[in-house]
Amino acid sequence: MGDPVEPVVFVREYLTSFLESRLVNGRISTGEYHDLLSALRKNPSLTSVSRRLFESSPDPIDLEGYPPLRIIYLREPNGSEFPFLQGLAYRNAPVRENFTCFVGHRFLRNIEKSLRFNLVHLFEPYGIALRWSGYDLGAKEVFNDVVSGITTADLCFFDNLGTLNRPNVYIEIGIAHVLAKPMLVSEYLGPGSKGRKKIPDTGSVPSDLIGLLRIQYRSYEDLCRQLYFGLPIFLERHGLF
Amino acid sequence: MADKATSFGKQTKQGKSASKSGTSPVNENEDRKRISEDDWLDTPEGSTCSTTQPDPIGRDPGEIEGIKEEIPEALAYFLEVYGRLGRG
Repeated sequence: MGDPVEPVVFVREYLTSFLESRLVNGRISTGEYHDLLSALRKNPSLTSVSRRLFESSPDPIDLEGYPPLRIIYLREPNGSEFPFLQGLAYRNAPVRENFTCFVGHRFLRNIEKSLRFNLVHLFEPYGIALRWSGYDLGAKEVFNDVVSGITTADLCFFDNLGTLNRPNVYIEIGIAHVLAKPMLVSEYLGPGSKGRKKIPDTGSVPSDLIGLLRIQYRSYEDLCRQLYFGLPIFLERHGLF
Repeated sequence: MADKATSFGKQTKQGKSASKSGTSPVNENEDRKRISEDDWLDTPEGSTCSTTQPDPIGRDPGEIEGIKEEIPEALAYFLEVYGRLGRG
């Protein structure tokens, strides 16, 4: 389980990050941002809402007049967990159209176990099914399967964690680029503070790929938040939402 | 897609929005108050009168469409953005 963080501190910080993401993406003005931030700091009901969220986790809570929301626990590469606030669709919302996202990453057990778990939670609400590279085939068929998977996908997600000297993911990025697929490329930057172990064996995105939409992150918690806050805008831009 | 902040957190409980028009919610509230006072006059003898008006079909106040919990506007905005998603 993640750090025993004070519920209201976590929720307030999470919503602050959300507002900042909306601000820098032009979805709210600076005036709206500061008004919302100010109200967030003063609102007395946030404490009880936050406590209910953590006590009910993973079950959602209902706030009258609003769609449900919940706290779930997602995973870091080392298997540790972190809390994640997720807004849910109204219970009578229609089932969304099915899209497919091709996912490329280094095949390491800890990455598979954590990254896939996290991504399913982030993409499922959009009706996006994930397809992994080399999903169910033998090694000799993997490349053809990769090309086929990217070709038929509606969008792609690639993560470069642990890919130093393992260029497969960059080849996949190149294929998706040529096919003009909407693409999210996440780049691991290493830990941001002392005392946190750097995960070795990770390179950087090649210079000729800089300019594609990159998400630079220091932990899966960081990555998941950036993805979660950015996905509505990214999908809308590409006609997938 | 219109998901700017202007479309969410400015919502308040029914009758609380500050309109400057001639048909403001304040006047509607006064009308409601008058009606409820008239109703009170018709209350059978011996029954008590509550300042909280019951919904005509017996719903709790929170169930009445348009009445929302008092939550931070930032959280309301967050829920507006993600509540629009369908079920995957």
